Amino acid sequence: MTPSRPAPAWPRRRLAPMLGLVAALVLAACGQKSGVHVAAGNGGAAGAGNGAAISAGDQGGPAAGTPGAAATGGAGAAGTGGAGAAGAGAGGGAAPAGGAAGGGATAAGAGAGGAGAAASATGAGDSTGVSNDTIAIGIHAPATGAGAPAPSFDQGKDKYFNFIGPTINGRTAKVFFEDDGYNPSQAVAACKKLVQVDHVFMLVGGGGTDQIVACAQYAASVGVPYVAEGVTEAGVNTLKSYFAESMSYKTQGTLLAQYIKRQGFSQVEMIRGNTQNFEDAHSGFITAAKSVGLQVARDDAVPKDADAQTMSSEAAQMCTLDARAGKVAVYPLMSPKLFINLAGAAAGQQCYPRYAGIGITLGLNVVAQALCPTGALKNGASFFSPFQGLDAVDQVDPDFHKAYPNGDDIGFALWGAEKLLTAQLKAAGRNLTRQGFVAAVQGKSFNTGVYPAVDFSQGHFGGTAVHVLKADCGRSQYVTEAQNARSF
Amino acid sequence: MSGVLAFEVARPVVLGVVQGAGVGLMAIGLVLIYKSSRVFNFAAGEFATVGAFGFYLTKSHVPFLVAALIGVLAALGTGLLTERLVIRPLANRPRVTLLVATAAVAIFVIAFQFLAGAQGKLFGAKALVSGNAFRLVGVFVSWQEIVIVVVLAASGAALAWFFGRTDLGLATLATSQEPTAARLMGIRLNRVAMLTWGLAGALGGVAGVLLPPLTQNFTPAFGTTDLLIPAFTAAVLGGMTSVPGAFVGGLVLGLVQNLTQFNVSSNRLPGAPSVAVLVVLVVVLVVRPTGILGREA
Amino acid sequence: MARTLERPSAGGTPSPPRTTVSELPGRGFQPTPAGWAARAGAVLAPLMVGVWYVRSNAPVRSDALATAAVIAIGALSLNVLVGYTGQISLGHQAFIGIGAFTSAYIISESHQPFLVGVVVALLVGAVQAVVLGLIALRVRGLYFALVTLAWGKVAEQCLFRLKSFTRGGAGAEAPRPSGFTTDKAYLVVCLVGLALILLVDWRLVATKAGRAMQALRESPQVAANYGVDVKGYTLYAFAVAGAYAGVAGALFASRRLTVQSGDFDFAGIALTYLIVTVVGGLRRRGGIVAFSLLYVLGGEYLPDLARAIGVRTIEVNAGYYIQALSAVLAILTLIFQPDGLGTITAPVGRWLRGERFQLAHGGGALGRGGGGDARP
Repeated sequence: MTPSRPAPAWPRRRLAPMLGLVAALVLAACGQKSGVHVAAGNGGAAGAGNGAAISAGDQGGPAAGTPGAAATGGAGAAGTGGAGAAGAGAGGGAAPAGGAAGGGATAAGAGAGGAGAAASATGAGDSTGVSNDTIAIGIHAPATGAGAPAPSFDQGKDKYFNFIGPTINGRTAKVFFEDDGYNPSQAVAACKKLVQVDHVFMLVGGGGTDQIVACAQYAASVGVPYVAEGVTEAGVNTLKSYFAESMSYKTQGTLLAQYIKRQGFSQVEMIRGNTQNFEDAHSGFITAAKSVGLQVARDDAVPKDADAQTMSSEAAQMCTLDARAGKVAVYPLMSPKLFINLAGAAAGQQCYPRYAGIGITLGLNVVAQALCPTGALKNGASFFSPFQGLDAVDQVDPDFHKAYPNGDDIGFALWGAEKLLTAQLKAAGRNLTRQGFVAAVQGKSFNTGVYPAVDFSQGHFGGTAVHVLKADCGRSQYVTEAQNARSF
Repeated sequence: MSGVLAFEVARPVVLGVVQGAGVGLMAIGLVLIYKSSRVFNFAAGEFATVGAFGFYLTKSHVPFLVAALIGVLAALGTGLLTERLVIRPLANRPRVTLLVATAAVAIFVIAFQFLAGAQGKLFGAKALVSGNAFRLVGVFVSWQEIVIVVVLAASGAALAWFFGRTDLGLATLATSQEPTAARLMGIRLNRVAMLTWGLAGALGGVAGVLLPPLTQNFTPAFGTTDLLIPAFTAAVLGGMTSVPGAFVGGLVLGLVQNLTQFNVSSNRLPGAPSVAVLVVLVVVLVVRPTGILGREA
Repeated sequence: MARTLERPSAGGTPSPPRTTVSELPGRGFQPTPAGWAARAGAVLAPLMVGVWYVRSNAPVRSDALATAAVIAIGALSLNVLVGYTGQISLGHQAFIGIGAFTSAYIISESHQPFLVGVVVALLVGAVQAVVLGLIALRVRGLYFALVTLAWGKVAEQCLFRLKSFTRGGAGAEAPRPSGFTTDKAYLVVCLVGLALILLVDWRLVATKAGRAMQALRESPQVAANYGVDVKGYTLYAFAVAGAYAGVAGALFASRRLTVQSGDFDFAGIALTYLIVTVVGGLRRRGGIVAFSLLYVLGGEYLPDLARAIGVRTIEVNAGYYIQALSAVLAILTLIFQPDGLGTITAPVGRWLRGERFQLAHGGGALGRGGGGDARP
């Protein structure tokens, strides 16, 4: 631009096209909004369209009575903008359901749709992602990032579902996998894609507290059922469509304090990643430790994505004289990357505390493989886990190695999660809707032999027990120390 | 007594000296390039990362020293290519242009590291030599740390000698003082530029090969995210022109970073070392822009 | 002062190009009605394509376009510093991130409406930039670039990890304004934001402040001699850049819904935005917006292209290939075409305003020995 032009002449000449542009933008904006309204008026058929049309078209038999158009009505994203408008459409769409469920149910469905609320009415439901012979399931997990970088997530994502075939009330589960990069905002993006592009029926989280919480909240906002391992309670225990398939960190903390005490320690250090989502796990454990008579020698937090130098200084501070002498147990609650840096740096200073903790990802074999050669785990490392070590696989579920001969522990974790999920999907019946799924899981118990039995009669955290994995550096992997422990 | 000293002073001092030597070597590379081309080389961090990748990706296939050589040569090659393909065509352009160009080189190289492993992926870097050499007020000093600091310091000393005593070294310095006069004296400027960029690349490569074992692993782009800022600050401490000043500056920065790291809780103030580096940089630039350790060498 | 290190730079004596209206080649030319119609069509056609593009398919497309709008605002912010004043910022992840976390905090912790979040982000962004600007008054050019680099690192490592401010690793939540929660609707918010920033930016350079900033870019000393308030206008430019970045950050946060420190890394934000600015063309608004769009669409469609030609690595790592490609483009831009995409967009823009279509016009932003020099 040439600012030295005489100012008065030019702005006026440029103002017109500029205003025109802005006007065009505003027009485009209004066009968008009205477009949504039109769609809503059409009974949601073209609305946010989360597979609404698909399910209506694809489903024969009993499912035909399920109003596909109700799809986004159930989703009812807070009754705002497009989604809310589509919810209004759902009311109209629910009418055909009367054929199956009777007039009363129709009215209820219409009412729920009109209100834009996540209706759990049985008469109408959201069957996005469900076709005559498949159920679309979305899984997000940290295949890259500070978690446990492993392609095995993608490889093992559907071994169980493929193995059982079309036995979920006549349907096969079809898995869509997205990497969440161990980053909550990437996790939200991943879950958004699974919901909006892949039109999955429900979402499954594969580890990593912050990612699970972020996705669970997103899933709840769009009315999509979400299951994952139990992590924090705060922020997710009120979500209707969220189910934790294992105990929360807070309740596991009580068991961990007992476990550490029983191992003969009188002092414990807790080092956690600095996230809001570990607050209840932290306070829960500190209280539990004190109540069993453990002295909390150190209690610190490190940035979630701290660099190696930070962890090396943390290691130096962790290695008090008592820790060096092996008198202190350390409870690390952090990403595998941080733990590898922490324990490795401690080993470099000839400091080998006993590690004991809770962790879906810390108990993965990649961690043992990284740390065993440094000798960092020579005084032992045990982690609570919702799945057994590979050594116990043939005993608890011989099918795993049949279906997935080279399967690793991540493969088995996914296997266990899918096995439990299958039991829950079966319970929801042939007429599968999101609301129906939630209703079928709520208040029920399931036991599959891999994950500890779950019981949702008390709320959304179903875990009743834990497995314990311990590092076996002779084999550079974690082996099963205890199964289905309810106390120590 | 040994407890307090060990964790708050002795350990960070040991780590600071070792890491500082690496930072110092990179700072020398920055100074050389600034002296010969008057460029702030923002690709310097990637010279180190290229060295690390060259070394650790080949280490399991070829003998140790060959892998190290591959790492250093890869970094040297990166330096030469940067000079030939980016810097030379842009000679006589404004310096901001050159700065942006070197930053573009950095992001180009980083993109390819991410291809080797997504961001945050750890690449293992096992100890070069195992075992602890001795114990110093309660902290262990490993053989590896001694080896690293010796190699880094020897490289720095060799450079100081090269620029202080040899004809080629003196010619390079002459170029930086008076380009026109140097050309009239028969010094070929392109040669000198190639030499300094190659050297800077190799220096970065040496640092990149040697530093990762200290933390057992490294992540893509660690040279830019972890080493570049301290290295520039070290060079600024030396007034951007002094080779020994840059190396000593590196040691100072290593100590500053590690002492803050070990003495400020990352729970209360995360990233304290980065704050300390910013403070050092701003104070030096505002108070004494010629550098604290500045002296033409 | 840094000045003591200085030798005369290659740029030589600054002589601002004094182009006046009478010298402009297109002066006196008036398009025919058909010409105006063609121009109107040239404006409307892309708009219609854009509306069709968004409406014809998934929310993904809206999200991609929203990303492009956010990058464009961020790059325009850099453009104020690099293009208008010749100060370089290598710490723009701090600028963007501060806006993002501030807006997220205002919305989800203080429970204020989205617009309040944007406005506060704008103000906080301006304030932090002015503080940097105060340093820029003492430390110029390349050395100042170092300060911004270190500042970016402090933001990444320290500010964005303060749990009370950002909720630590959990990430800060930044809900979208009610009524605009879908991706399509949120795209409208981002486009309005971009339009407003473009409007402000256009007024900025067209006024006295714009000319003052150009004088500063050429030489602060000479500008001072001509009576330009060097201090005031430097800080003014920083405030403007910080304000743009604050808006970009606020829009960024709500687009992602959750943000955390790792989202604001040096390579991903600071370097990428810088490259977008350079390839788009310094002081070339149209070029910058155009390249932001190309950058995002490239990432969106490269996987499909790669799948079509069967190159698996590009398909799964498209983002990284785009990054590498943009870096190469940036270097080529600097060497051969200092105006970047502006080489194309600027003549198109003049044509749209009723001038004759003519490619060559004016000097390059980072041109040979031209302006934009900053001396250490």
